[in-house]
Formats: sequence, structure tokens, C-alpha cells
Amino acid sequence: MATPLPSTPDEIRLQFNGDGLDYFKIWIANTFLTLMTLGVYSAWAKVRKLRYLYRATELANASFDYHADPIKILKGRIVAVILLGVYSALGMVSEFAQIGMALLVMVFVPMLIVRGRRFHLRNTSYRHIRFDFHGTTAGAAAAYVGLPILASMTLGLLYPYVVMQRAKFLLGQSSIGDNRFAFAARTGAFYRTYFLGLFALAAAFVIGGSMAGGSIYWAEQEETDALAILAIACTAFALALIYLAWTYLQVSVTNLTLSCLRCGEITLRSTLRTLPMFWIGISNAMMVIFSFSLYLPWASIRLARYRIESIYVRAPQGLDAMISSTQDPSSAVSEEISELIGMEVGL
Amino acid sequence: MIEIRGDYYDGHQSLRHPVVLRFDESRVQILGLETEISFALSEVNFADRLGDLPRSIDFPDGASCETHDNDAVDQVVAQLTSSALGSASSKKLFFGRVLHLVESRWHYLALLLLITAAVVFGFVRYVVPVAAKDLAAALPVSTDRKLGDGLLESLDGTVMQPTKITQAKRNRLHQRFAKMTAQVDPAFKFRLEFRASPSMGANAIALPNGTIIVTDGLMQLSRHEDEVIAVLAHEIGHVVHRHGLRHAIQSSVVSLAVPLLTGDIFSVATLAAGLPTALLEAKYSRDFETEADQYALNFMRSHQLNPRHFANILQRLSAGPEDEKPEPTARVFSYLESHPETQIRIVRFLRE
Ligand SMILES: [Zn+2]
Repeated sequence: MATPLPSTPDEIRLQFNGDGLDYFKIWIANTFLTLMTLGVYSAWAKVRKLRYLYRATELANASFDYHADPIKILKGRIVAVILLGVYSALGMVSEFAQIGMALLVMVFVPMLIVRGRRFHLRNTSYRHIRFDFHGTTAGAAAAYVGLPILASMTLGLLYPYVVMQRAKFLLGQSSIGDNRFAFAARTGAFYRTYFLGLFALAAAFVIGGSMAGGSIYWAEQEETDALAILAIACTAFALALIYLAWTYLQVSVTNLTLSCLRCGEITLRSTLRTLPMFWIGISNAMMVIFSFSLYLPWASIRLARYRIESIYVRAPQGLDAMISSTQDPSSAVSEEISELIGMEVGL
Repeated sequence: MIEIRGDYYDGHQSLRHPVVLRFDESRVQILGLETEISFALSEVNFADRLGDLPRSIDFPDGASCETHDNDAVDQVVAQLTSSALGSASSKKLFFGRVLHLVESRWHYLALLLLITAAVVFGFVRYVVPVAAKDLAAALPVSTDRKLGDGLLESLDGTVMQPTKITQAKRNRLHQRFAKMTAQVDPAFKFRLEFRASPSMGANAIALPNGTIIVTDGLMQLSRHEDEVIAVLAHEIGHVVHRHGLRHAIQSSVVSLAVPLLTGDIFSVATLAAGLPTALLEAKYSRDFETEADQYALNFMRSHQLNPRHFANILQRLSAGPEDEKPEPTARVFSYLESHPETQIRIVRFLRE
């Protein structure tokens, strides 16, 4: 866990202006229209939702924005639904044909990842300058197919490296205007982070597992209500402990990943901390259960606020003149059919 | 004339220019830049309003203005006649304004919420079971068998032990079971198994592949052979009505629909949102019990057996220690899972 350094004057904190109630209203309208149109509206709902979250994200008095054309997302979804239908229909005819089709689709996965990412970033803007993505299909194939195969052959020893290479591919290959992002790989740091995280996870499993196991065994030996309650409490505690360790791993990987990213002189720093993330996760889940899912929009906003507001951007020369684009802004609209099978990868 | 403050970006530089936009009937003037620019409103694109977040006004030269003054923009848009706007953009704006109107009025929202809840409930309660039944009917029985294969082996490795019931008793039941299942579609490969299982107590389980397991506890609880036959008929009912497959279809539809509706897929909160649907699962399994009971009742009537035998063993089962209630898993149907309705079930068999 990185201890937050004191903020320097040239460091700007991201600000999140989203409001749970506003987001709830959008969510209700989205859900209603998606239902009434048998899912067709889901493409519009997605754009409206992302647009809300992006516009709510403010950096140095300017907001992000999202411009995707829902029709294009809808086309992608229709193709995905057709593919899925063909796939299940094939399953009734012959299993070989089904496996063949699955393999065929798998071949296209790297291409879909690249296109999805490009579509997503080209439709994202800050100060009216679009992001873009320059990753290649070969790069995606290496990060999403080749390296994972290697990792499984080395019994997961390569896994932290794979995670780093994926981040390098997804983030390091992006740009805003004419300015490329760069991902400074820190293999040692990734291995250290994963070592600590997995150690915490293993410790949580051992401590929590033996507590829960022991109390359940005891409760089975002497069947009293008090012991049954103790067993339940110990099991809940064990689950919480494991979730805490898992949160620690996620938080430290996210902080490390963002610290590797830079764009020219601009650098990022993420100061997520384990305990607040843990508390947000637990309390969100509780509230969602007890509200029969109605709390979901507030839960999303709460999580987004914490994640976004923990990011600091360091721009030694300010953001006003840093970013430029020689592209003709009106032609920056992409023509990609993206997100087949929901392939976009978020930060 | 309306004036709106905002930040102007030219689309090439991130440099922020604070400006004032001055709107009249057909044109907008941008004040505050080095040179004064103006555009016809028909060429200007107004972004949808989303809560009170800043939105952009896009100009035809690729520049854009970001403003927080949402009310003023709404006022501009409202005053524009459709002739001043392009027709496509006016249609889009109309839709956006309707959405914002709905989103800002509580009684509309409450109505939407109510309709949404009713539709979701109706879908999960009535549409999904019927659709799952139709889909199961369209699938070959081999699908059920695949679901159940290997389950007995894994039960044997964990909660099941060899039976201690005498060979003679078992043989008689095997013979009657063979007769019972002879009239059923041979695609179901029925098989009767006896197992001792201290953890499951008195119980009978139907696996979707047609294997029916009777525990020693149930054999000891029964006081008449026809009682076991009644239980077997109930379990055969589960297999014949393909409850294992239908249950699998129903739960996968419900668990897919939740993230689709709520919009996020990978968060703990979404997982939690799936939990209320677990309540519905209990309702589904009660429906299955009723169907299996009906099968047993029909079987007993048509074979001149007294339905009371079923009522009697149910009574004894429900009087037994409740904490021995086994975990009902997705593909295993056992007796005690529908306890709350046991009395109703008993009454149905006593009425005969
Ligand atoms: Zn049953």
C-alpha cells in the first residue's frame, strides 16, 4: 500500500461531481426503457450512463465527456446475440461444429479487444480533445492469448508479468490528441506487489479457514445454539478477512499500475487505500441486498467517487497548453463496430 | 436574447477560453475570443442534459463550449422553433428533453419504478418458468442425463456410504421400481440406489439422469412398503417433469438478466443484487414439488394404492429433526426442501 505523499502545488486531484440521486433517476429511466424495448434501448442506456459518469469527472475545471453513437453499440450487440444464437443452435446439431465455432470466434478475440478499446477511447474526450488507441491485433494476441498460455505453463509464475503487460497494452498504447501515453514497466514492483498480496490472501485463507473450520467442528460436536451462532460469526469473519486481503491486492495493483503511466511530462498517482475500499465494498453490498437492488446507483456513485478522487495528476506545466491535436476534430468520429460480446476493458 | 457563460475549446489545444455565448432567434455569437465568431443555430449541436453536470455545445468548425448553465441552455432550446434547428437534431433534442423531464419529476419516476418492478416480477415469476419448460421440452433427454452424470460418484465420495438394508428388502423394491418405470419413456434411464447417509437423514433424491437414491434413514422411517413406493413415485415425477434441467435453465436466465438490467457486470454490488433472486428460487422449487406430488398422486390412484401412505410418511418426515435438513443443490431434489408447505401437501393426499 503506497502511503500518500503530500500533495505538491503542481498536483491536481481529480474531482467527481456525480450525485447518487441523479444517477438513480437515470438508472430507473434506463432500466424501464430497456425492459419496454426488450433490450434494444440497452445501447442508449449504456451511453447515457457512461456519459453521466464521464461528465461527472472533473480535472482542473474541465470535464471528460463520452460521445459514442448508440446505434453502433446496438449493431455490435445484435451481432453478438446472433453469434450466441448460432452457437447454441449448433450445440443441438453437433458438438464438433460448436467447438469449431468457439475456436473461430476465439481467433477474433484479439481483434475485438483492439476495436473495442479504440471505439471506447476515440469516443472519450477531455477539453474537447479525443483519446485514441494504437494497440495492434498482434499486441492483443500476445497480451491476451500468448502470455496467459505461457503463464499457465509456468504454473502462474509469469502471472504478475502478464498483468503488467496487459496494462501496458491497454494504457500505454493510448493517446490524447497528439500525445502518446507511455507505460514504464516495473517488473520487480509488480512481482513484489503480487507477492505481498498473495501472501496476505494465503494468510487470510489459513487464519479464516481454520477459525471457521474449528468453530464448525466444535458446533457439530456439542449442538448448542450459542456454538452455532459462534460458528456462523466465525465463518462471516473468515469471509470478511479473505475479502479484505483480496481488496488489498486489488488496491495495490491499481495504485502501482497508475503510477507507471505518464503522458509527456504529466504523471499520475493513485492513492487508493485498503480499508476505505473494503468498507465501501462491504457496506455497498449490504445496502444493495437490503434495498432489493434499489441502492445500486448510489453504490456505483460511491465507489466511482472514491476511486476517481484518489487519483492525482501531476502536470508541471499545467494542463492548459499541454495537450494538442493536429487532427481535424470534426473527423475524429470513428466508424468502428465495437464491443462484440461486451469486449471493452475499463480502467 | 439569452447569454450563457462557458469554457471554449477550439478542438486543437487544451487551452481554456472563458467565453460568453449570446443567443438570438437564429444565431449564436461567441464573445471573449480574439476574433468574434458567430454561427447559425441550425449548425450548432446541443448535448443532452444529464442531471446538473456540465454539457457541451458543439460548433460546426470543431470547436466546443462546456457550460454549467443547464437551465439557460434548456431555455435556448425551448425557444428555438424547429425551423431554426436541423430536423435530426430537433428530434434528438425532443427525446433528450422528454428524458430529462421524466428524470426530474418524482411521480413519473415512481410510476416507472412501479411498472419496472411489476414487469420484472411477472417475468421472473411467470414467463421464465413457462419458457424454461418449453425449452426443456425442445431439448433431448440426453441433456438431462449429462446434467446428472457423475453426481452419484461425487455424492459417494462425500456424504453417502454403503447401505445396510437387507438384500431381500432391496430386491422387492427394485422389482416394483422396475415395473413403475417400465411405462415411462425409455429415454430416461431409471436406476434405484440405496445408500446410508447420516448427514442427510431420512431422504430420497432424484438426479436428473434418472438415478434415484433412497437413504437408509427413509427406509427405517417407513412403516409400510407402499410408503416408499409413494416416495419413489414422487422422485420419478421430478425426473419425468425434468425439474433438474428446468431449474438449471431458470437460474441461468435469472442470473443473466440481473446484470443486463442493472447495467454493471463485475462488481460486488451486482453480485449482491442477485441475492433477492434466491428468494424466487425457493418459489420455483415449491412449484416443482407440487408437480412431483401430483405425479405421485396420479400414480397411486391408477395403481390402486392408498394415497394416505404418502401423507403418512410426509407427516413422519416433517416431524423428524429439522436440523438434518440437507442443502438443496441445483440439480438434486430431495424431500425436505419445501417444508413450509408440508401440511398443505399432506392434506392433498388425505383428501382422496
Ligand atoms: Zn421433491
